[in-house]
Amino acid sequence: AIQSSRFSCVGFPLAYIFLACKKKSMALKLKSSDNKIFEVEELVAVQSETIKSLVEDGCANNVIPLPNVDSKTLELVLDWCKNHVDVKLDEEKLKEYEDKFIEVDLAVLYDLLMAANYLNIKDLLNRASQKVADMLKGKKPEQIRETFNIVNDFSPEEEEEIRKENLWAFEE
Amino acid sequence: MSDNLPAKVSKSLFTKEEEEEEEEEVAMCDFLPSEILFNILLLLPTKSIVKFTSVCKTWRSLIRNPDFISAHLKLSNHNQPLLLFRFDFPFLTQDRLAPFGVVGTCNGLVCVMGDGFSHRIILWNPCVRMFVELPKPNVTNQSYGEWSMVTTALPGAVRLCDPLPFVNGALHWVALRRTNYNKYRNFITVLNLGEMVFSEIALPILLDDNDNGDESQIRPFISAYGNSLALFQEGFCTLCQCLRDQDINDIIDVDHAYGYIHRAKGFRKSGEIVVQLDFDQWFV
Repeated sequence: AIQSSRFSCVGFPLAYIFLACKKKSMALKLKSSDNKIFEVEELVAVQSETIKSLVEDGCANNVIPLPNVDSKTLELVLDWCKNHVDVKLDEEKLKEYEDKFIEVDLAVLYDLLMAANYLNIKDLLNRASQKVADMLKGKKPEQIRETFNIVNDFSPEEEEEIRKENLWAFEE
Repeated sequence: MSDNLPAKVSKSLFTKEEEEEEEEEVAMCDFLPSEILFNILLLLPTKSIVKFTSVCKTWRSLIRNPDFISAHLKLSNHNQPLLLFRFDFPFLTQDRLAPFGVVGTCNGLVCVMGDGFSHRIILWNPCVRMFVELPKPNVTNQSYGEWSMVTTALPGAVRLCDPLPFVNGALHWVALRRTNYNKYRNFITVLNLGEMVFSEIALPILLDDNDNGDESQIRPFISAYGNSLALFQEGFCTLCQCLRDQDINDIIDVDHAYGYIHRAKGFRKSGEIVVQLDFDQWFV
């Protein structure tokens, strides 16, 4: 019940009410990289600019393959889209939803970033980028390397040189 | 975390093997496309970005890329709340009696000049605390990185050196000229930097009736306002006019409720005016 609450309280009912008012809403079939088929309302799917241009070009009659997005990420992304169909949605609730949505670990966040970039969903890309930026802010370079598994390719001398040049930025 | 994820997703996440998780994390740095990293770094404050130039070579070259720098400047330029900072000049004067003075600012850079007879000119970026000293003016032909000199008779006496507003490719300053009747009139001298020619803009008559048509006591002040010039007058009644395309159009009367306005300092991007009320009071 807890898990489904997020779906039912904001997402589905409003989306459906909105859809019901429209004269016709086609269902699109999306195929994830691991060959799972997702059937979604067109209004939900076209929040992805990539899918939108496919629909506009008439290339969306059959299953749309999305070879760069796996099923677990696609499910998350579609959940985001469902909750953003009606932008006039209660702003506070939407913000609450977004904050909860983005509370994921780094691996999932990475997948979301890649998917949002590939599918061209601006608000999701911005929100996920902001989340990463918040994680970076205030961290030391060493901590960043640790968090993101970045190899330090500076020699100790080079690193010391950069630090010296910008001493003020390294002060707490 | 399980509360926040749909059932299937959280299940698939937790059944995932740990090695797989680690693999993904390695992928974060290696394969995060630079356009995504670019957008993430754009959201960070200057101090963090400068610090992160030491993370790795890829980050360093991304951050020091001119495209990144101008994108970051553009983002941070949008009407952020007003803050007053105190910055000490990071360079030393050679002459205590002739300190540095600020010539003007542009895109976050401050041009500082002074230091006695040496007339050093320094470009300073207070945000990243770096500065460069420009070479001494050398009269040469016009080309990048060199100075050039214009020699011509000025059309009038120049008023004190306030920063000269640079609008539509030309520098502007207020000048004073004696008219036929031994009276003085203010006007704006325009130096077009592309063609290196002078022209003039006439000013509206700025005086009270009892000044007998002599404007030598009046100190008008001009400032850049978007692609226009704004004209201020010292005193209780500050008048602001926009000069566009060499014509005086819009006349906006500034609200006079604030008492004596010493001088207007300039405009914010939103169109609000920053004025100096007294020597140490500021108002927007």
